[in-house]
Amino acid sequence: MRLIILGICLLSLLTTRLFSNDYFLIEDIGTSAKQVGLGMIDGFDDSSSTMFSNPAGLYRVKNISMSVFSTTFIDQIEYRNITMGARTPMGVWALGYQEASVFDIAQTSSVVHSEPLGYFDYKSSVVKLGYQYSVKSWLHLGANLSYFTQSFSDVYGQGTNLDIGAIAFYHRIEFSAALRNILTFSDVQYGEGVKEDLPLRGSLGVRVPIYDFDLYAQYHQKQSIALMSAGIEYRPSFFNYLTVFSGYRQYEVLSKVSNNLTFGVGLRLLNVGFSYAYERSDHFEFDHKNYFSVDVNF
Amino acid sequence: MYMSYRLLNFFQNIVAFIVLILLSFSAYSFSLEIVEIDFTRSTAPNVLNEWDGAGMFINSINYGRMFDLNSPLSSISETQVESNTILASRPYFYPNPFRLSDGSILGFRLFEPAIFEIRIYDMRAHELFKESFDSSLIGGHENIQIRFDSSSFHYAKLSSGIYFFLIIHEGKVIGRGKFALRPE
Repeated sequence: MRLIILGICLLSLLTTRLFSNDYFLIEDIGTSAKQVGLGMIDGFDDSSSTMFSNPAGLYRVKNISMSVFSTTFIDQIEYRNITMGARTPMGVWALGYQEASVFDIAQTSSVVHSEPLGYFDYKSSVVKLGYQYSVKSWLHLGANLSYFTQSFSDVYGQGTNLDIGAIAFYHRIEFSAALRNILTFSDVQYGEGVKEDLPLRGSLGVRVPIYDFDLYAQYHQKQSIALMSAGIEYRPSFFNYLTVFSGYRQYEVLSKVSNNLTFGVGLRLLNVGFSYAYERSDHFEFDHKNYFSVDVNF
Repeated sequence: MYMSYRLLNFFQNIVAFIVLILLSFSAYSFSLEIVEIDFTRSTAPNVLNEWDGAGMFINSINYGRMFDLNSPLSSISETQVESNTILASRPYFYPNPFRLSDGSILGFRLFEPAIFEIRIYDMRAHELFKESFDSSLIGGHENIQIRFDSSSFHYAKLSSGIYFFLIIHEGKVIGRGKFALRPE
């Protein structure tokens, strides 16, 4: 019976529809330092931040959980997110907000070498309302309702969609399956008939605990491109406040697959966790990316 | 006694929740500071870190040390930014924002003929475009106009949003800026 349900999770990915890569999902840059440090493995965060990658992961919320995440790319793009989750007798509810901002973009006319007409800012945000319910002790389901907005200059767009996820255990092995933006008919509307598709994302991951190590692997579907990730986490039994993790991730740029190594470290004191992750960047000047997050789960 | 225990537990949870919120906001602000002093930020006074709108006009000679030498994760690299010996005007896309299908022109001027490189990055800091140009072959150094449209990115469907470009000459960044793509 368990294998059948696990198979359904897998089949849900095989039936993934393929759509053009239009709307830029800011969650793609990562939603927590641990997720990035493990190679962008979805669904295995220990706090409410997992709602962005797999809402079923909210089963790990004991009573109340909160997390914040921050990073800045090339000294220009600021990414932030904050999530809160709470366990109720009916399941776990969570609320998450992530945004990306860029400031001082020059607005120009079509006359070359003319002075700028002014400056504008860019902001993209997503708000998610998540709900998780444990069907069995070994099977957890979750769903998110998402609301997207993007604005810059005279452009303003908004859209909604739905995420679903499942987490299942087979002995000590944990499986995570998630589909984001499953409402393929829903997109971001800009007015006057202009719209962008909200791309469907599917992921299937596994965590295998071996002594003080946790091994991770993930298959991620992004449009017609299959991406793989792998990660390893070490939590020494003699000092379990500290975790060290590393990952390998594939990512897509202009339909070509590239890869990267990631590293990270986490510290958990009582119920408060601090995580840092690092990966290299393609950029000519800023070839390091740093991620930082804090979470509380009690 | 059981009710007292439950009441005490309830108030403990309230206090813990308030502490949690305060701690989270403190950590949030702290995280901003961490990012501000991260390894990749130049520690030298450097106009490169001061974005003057979307265009950059380099006014002074300085060495930008891009990485903290004391960091075990950093590699030693220096980017020398020379004075305005070559870039004569701020680079902008005309018009901006624009639809990729309509195209736009990157325009700027140089003081002298030069071979330079243009690189374009998306909001994930991934490189989308990299090409070298000889100013003498594209209309002269005093009126550089480089057209970008869908063909520049192999007709890939780029998302609407902000993109970043660098102008590189002899291994040094002489100019940078950003442009916005409208949704198609």
